[in-house]
Amino acid sequence: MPHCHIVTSTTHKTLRGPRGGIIMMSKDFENPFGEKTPKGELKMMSAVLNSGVFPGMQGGPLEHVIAAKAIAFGEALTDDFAKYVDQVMLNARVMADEFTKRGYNLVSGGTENHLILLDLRNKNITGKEADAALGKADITVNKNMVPYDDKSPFITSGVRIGTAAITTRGLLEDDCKQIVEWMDAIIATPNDSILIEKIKGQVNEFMNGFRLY
Amino acid sequence: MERDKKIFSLINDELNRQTVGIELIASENFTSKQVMEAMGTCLTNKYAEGYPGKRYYGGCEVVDQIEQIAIDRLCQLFGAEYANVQPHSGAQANAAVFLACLKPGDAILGFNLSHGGHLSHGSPVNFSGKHFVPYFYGVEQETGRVDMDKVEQIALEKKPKMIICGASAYARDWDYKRFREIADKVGAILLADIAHPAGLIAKD
Repeated sequence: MPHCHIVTSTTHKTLRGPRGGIIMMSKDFENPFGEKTPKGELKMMSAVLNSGVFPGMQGGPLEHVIAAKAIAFGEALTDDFAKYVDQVMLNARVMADEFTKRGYNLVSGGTENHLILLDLRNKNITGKEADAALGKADITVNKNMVPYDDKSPFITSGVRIGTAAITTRGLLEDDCKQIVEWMDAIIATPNDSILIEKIKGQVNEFMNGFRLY
Repeated sequence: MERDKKIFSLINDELNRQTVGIELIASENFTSKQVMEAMGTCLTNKYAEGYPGKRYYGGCEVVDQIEQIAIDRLCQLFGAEYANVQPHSGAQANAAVFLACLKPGDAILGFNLSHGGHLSHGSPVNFSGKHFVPYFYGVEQETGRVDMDKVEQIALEKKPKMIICGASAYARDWDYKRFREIADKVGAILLADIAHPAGLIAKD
């Protein structure tokens, strides 16, 4: 944060708030573009950015979403959230190790955050096919291009996996290993509808043990 | 007005879908109940163009307090001096920053979409790539990581007015310090889009 002039973000990914966006600055500063106030003083960047949002890009703000953002920021300030974030990263590392053990290639060889990009080119399956087969077992991922991909964005050679949502459900390291086992079985035989149907049943029963709301 | 059974029945279907499956989409999460509750309130009825204390509509005393609390908490969470909580989405937040900091035709330098970047960082199909002149850095084929020396090389060559770091599919930490040194060298604004790791950064 302190190294960046301006920081933007969504509020609904690892921050676990409502769907929305934010803009921040560690330190306000005089705008370097020469924009002046009616009094002839240089405008601060905060004023320039505020004008960029309204009236620049948007009209009325969504105050119901802003209230939800306030609640989510309050939640993110708690120790519970810090523990949650540690678990998100731990779960991602465990999944990354488990995929590696099973012969998968991970882009960049691993993860330092909440996500993993699997390169499926050595598994004889496209991102699109893996996405579809896993989806039939109620395991939702998204197909994703890998660097230097030779396939189109509609097909792709990879899938992107993240642990933010499952960690909110309460899943821990061993649960992540179980998920990789199921995913590996499906990716190995994406056309085995009997196996996929069986795993779907196991997935549904398994998730029944983790309350959502 | 009769209750709209059709839509509520579909919402229930979606709740069931979210409940029974394993959600591994990296950009998704489940909010708390109170976060969802706030979104289904009378606040949606209120017009509040402007900012707390400087609105273009009357009756904003209550929403002013709510928005100010959101701003204060966000600043506390990230150790920030300034926050704007109004962008409807991350792409809108980026577009607002571009509008504030750039002129049409200015050069920008972002992370290659096909290497894990985001549409709103200069993709030719997005506003950011249509109104500005986008250049990209990527990852190395062997390592899958961003080579900062190459970022510097492209920045020196293209002299972008803004450098964007951040991605939608990059599993590694970002060298923000080095990005800032490069930005300072070419006189660019450094924009970090932390949409993905925001929660991870908030914790530190």
